[in-house]
Amino acid sequence: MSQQVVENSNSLSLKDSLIKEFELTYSKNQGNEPEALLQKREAALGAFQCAGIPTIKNEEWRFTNLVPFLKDSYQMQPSGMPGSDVIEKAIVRATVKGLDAYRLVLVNGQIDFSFSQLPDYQEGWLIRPVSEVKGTEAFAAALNSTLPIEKYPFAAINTACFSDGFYMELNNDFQLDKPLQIIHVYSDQENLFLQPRNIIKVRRGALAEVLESSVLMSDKLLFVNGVTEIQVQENAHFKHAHFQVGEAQERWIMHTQVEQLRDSRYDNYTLTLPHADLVRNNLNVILDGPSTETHLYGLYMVENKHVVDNHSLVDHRHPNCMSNQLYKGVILDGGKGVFNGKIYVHRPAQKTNAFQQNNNLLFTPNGTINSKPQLEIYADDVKCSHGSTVGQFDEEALFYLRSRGIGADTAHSLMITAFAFDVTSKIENEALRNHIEQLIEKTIAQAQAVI
Amino acid sequence: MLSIKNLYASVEDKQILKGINLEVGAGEVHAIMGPNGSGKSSLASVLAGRENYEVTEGTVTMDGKDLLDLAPEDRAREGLFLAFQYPVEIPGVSNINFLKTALNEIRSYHGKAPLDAKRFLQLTKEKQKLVEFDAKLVNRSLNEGFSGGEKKRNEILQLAMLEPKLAILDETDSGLDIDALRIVSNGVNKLRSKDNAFILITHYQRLLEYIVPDFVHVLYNGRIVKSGGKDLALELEEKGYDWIKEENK
Repeated sequence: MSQQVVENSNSLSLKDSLIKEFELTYSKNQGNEPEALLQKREAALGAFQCAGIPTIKNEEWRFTNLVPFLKDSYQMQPSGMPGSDVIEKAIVRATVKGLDAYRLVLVNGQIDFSFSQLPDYQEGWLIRPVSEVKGTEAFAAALNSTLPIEKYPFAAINTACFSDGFYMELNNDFQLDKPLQIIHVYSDQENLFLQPRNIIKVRRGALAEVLESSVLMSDKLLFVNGVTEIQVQENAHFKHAHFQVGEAQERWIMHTQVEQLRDSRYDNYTLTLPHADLVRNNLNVILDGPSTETHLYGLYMVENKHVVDNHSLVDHRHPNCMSNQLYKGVILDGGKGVFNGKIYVHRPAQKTNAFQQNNNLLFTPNGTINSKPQLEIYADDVKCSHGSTVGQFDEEALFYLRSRGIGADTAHSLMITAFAFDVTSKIENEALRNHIEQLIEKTIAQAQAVI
Repeated sequence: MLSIKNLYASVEDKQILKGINLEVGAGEVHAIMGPNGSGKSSLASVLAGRENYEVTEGTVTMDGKDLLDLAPEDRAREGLFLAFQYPVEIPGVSNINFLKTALNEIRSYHGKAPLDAKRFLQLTKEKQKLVEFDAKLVNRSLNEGFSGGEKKRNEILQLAMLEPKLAILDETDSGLDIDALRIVSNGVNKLRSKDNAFILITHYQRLLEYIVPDFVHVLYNGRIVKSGGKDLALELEEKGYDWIKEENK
């Protein structure tokens, strides 16, 4: 007999565990979900089985090797829910000083209204659990409407398996008077792999500002494979900030799929600070109507042995759209950052203005950054630019600061804050801006203590 | 106040300073002149602690303290100030925050509490007036987009704020038009006192018409080859540096 693969019967590969999870949930979902959704789930599973967990041979995953993160085994469902004292502590940890906001709390991917603070829904908006709305035909029809799952194996397996998340809808012309902070609390006694699915629909002329953050309240591993689909309809404006501040045993693969209709505006702030050991953001913005405006701001600080990978796509399909992307990264000692920004300008998308900039600062020589701007332009009357830089501290500037009595640590801190300023200054909400600036300072102080 | 003895320094194994001796007392203004490449700016850099300079011999003390042993920030905290020939632009660091951080780090070094916001602003206003610095520039990013003259005036503002014992002005007059030169010089003259001292590094006698020195030294080939009173500057202006070069062949 030739070689035989000996399988450890106790630990399935992550791929097999995910497929098994599909089989378990599928049988439960039959009868509860419309045929259209079940069909989408099956098709998505097929796409995932076909692609598998991506390796570095996959162009979209060239720089991020998932192998070290796949060795552990995970439970695919929470073994129980944390007590209210744990949730309360998590909320305190997620609190942004001085931020006057509504609050939505999700625990292990499920909405907990008792800890949320929301106004009356008569006001013109609503938030429901996805588990409650996924039974409708409309939900099934809208799912993955702009997301080609065959290209995104993690979004595919999320589609196949998801059971819950939040569904948020703002009615025509409704303006949310305060920002909404969404706090994702995770806690379990076992290693947990969760696949939340969230939907945000901002209808015609509506305006809302959302801040998402998460808190892990256990010392077990957490792997989140999340998908959020957002539709910003005609003339609506959606401001969307994502604070990714975590613990070393957190792994995140987040897919955000945005569809913008005519005259709409979408602003995204993705702020990734230590300590999650893997963060992969897929941010795709599909410009499905003319005269839209899109702003994507990113800031990432990556520490030793950790990976932060930002992949984005801005898909210009119609004329007169403007998109502006600015991502800045600080690679701390031994960290690894990836930026892959694609701008696609289709043939009909004349008069496009598309700008992209990615700047990186290596805190020590012992860091890695892979920066890959990708522009594909098929229209001939457009203004597009991109730039990518990798640099170290400007020694002359450091000396200048020190020659005025400013200590080396403070000088580094000033310069990183200044480097990040191009992004942080774009955060309109003052409380959020102060919060992120403090987090940056704290991160630098910690990084300096290590060196 | 400052005592330089037999100072030798090199950059990338190239000997730049070759035995400098200089004594600067409180209340004095010294001018250091000399042709291009004689080591004037290198001397300023070595004193301020620029990293790529290596001191191979000699001592520098300020009020008895070994300066060469200190990090650049500690030299500044001990009262040394270098006005840069080319002040650095640092986008994203506001001028005002920079001044406040510097002032408070120096205060904390001397065991003093940081200035509160009100007193700090008062001080800034007062010093701005003293050196005729445009208030609008204070809130901008440090030196970013400043004209040459504005940058040099900003150096003098910092000088006024930090109140060092010893200030070295490295070719502060270069690139200044006559009005800016007058403003910068007025600032320095107002800041002169019996307790502090200045070293002016310059090519030209012009600056010394505005800031009158007590001593003039000629630096050539890494050494001080001639010292005298303010008349020496006039002689140099008239005769150029060639005779110095001849004498020291």
